Amino acid sequence: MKNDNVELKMFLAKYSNFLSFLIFLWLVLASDNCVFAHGDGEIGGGFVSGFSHPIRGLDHVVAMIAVGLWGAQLGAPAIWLLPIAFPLVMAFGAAMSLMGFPLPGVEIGIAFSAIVLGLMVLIESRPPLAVSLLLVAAFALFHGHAHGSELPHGESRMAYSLGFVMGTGLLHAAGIGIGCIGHWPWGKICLRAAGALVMVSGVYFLISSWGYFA
Amino acid sequence: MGPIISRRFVPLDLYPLVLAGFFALVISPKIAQAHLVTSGAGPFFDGVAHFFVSLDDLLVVVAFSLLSGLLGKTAARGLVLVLPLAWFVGMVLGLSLADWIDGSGWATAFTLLVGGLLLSFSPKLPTWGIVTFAGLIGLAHGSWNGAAMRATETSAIASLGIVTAAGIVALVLSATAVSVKQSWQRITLRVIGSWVAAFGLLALAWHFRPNV
Repeated sequence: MKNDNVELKMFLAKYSNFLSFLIFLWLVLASDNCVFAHGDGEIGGGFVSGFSHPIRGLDHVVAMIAVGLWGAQLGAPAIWLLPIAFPLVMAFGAAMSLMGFPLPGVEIGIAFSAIVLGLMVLIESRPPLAVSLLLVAAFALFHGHAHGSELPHGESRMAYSLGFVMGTGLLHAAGIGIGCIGHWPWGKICLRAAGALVMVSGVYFLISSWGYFA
Repeated sequence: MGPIISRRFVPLDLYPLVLAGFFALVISPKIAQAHLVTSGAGPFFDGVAHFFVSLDDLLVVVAFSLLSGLLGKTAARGLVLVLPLAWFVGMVLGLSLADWIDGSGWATAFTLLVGGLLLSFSPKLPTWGIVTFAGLIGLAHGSWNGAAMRATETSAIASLGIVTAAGIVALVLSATAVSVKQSWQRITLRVIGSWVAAFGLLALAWHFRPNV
């Protein structure tokens, strides 16, 4: 236990700036007051709307956080490659949707993303980097397509896009931040439990997409 | 390498207090009044404000400045010198040749995509490479700004405000990136690059979106 405390102190000393920065960024971005500078329909409205879009959907939230958790479990280089790959492929999916390319089974794909990513965290799976990247990228396509098809009209599209990308990226960062508890034995157990929770919620989303909870 | 805020000046225990102070400052104005158009501050500050609310201009400078900083001091110095100068030359060209310049849409988004991808992959570009990119980006965005200013009959003094704002952002961010040594800090900058690239990709898609 004493050893754990020393490790915790060393961990906080090493990452305190990073964690402070993340908390600060979250507080600033989550605060509506500071971003409503231009009124509804302009940059402020578009940014807030885009930023809150991934956060308001629980299916998106659990999958994004699971990506961060898994990245933290896998360690370098996956811990930074996954959050770099996800927004890019997600934007590609949104671009497909905006330009009218259909993608069948989007809701099912999103539900499966939670199930599979949750399972990966639960069993602490360590596939080759290329496999984990492909898996995350494939799911990012479904999430991006769903976002792209739900973009509202009348908002500042550039600000909306920026908010939407940043909201998603910060959800990954939150997942990585939580995943840091994997440094300790009890943290590893908690992470696996979180993976199980994500997986169960994925099953719920899957059943919902078939219309059972409507 | 040291933390973002040196512990010599801000002890670790005071971080929550410093963060709370920052947060209070940021949320205190209920409306930020970012547009100075009605403030009477004049065309120079209109130009400065325009740069900060034009996401396509701002983010391309952010991406290339951070990239130059990651490439080292020489590259950062090159960018800080060339980018504002090229932006100014571009604005003069844009104001003079407005009829032949069309900067709307895909070209701006494309520069964002390129800047974001370069930052996220951080290739080992030679100094002349990043300086060439800075020159091209400055000329392109400057000429688009100049052409838009001509079309809206904005005072030419606003161009000085835009160039000053671009120069200051480039200076601050490239210097920040130069000082970054810890791996997680470098990774954070590269993640920002992927965000800019994703934003550029979305902006491209918005441009080519079929009419619905």
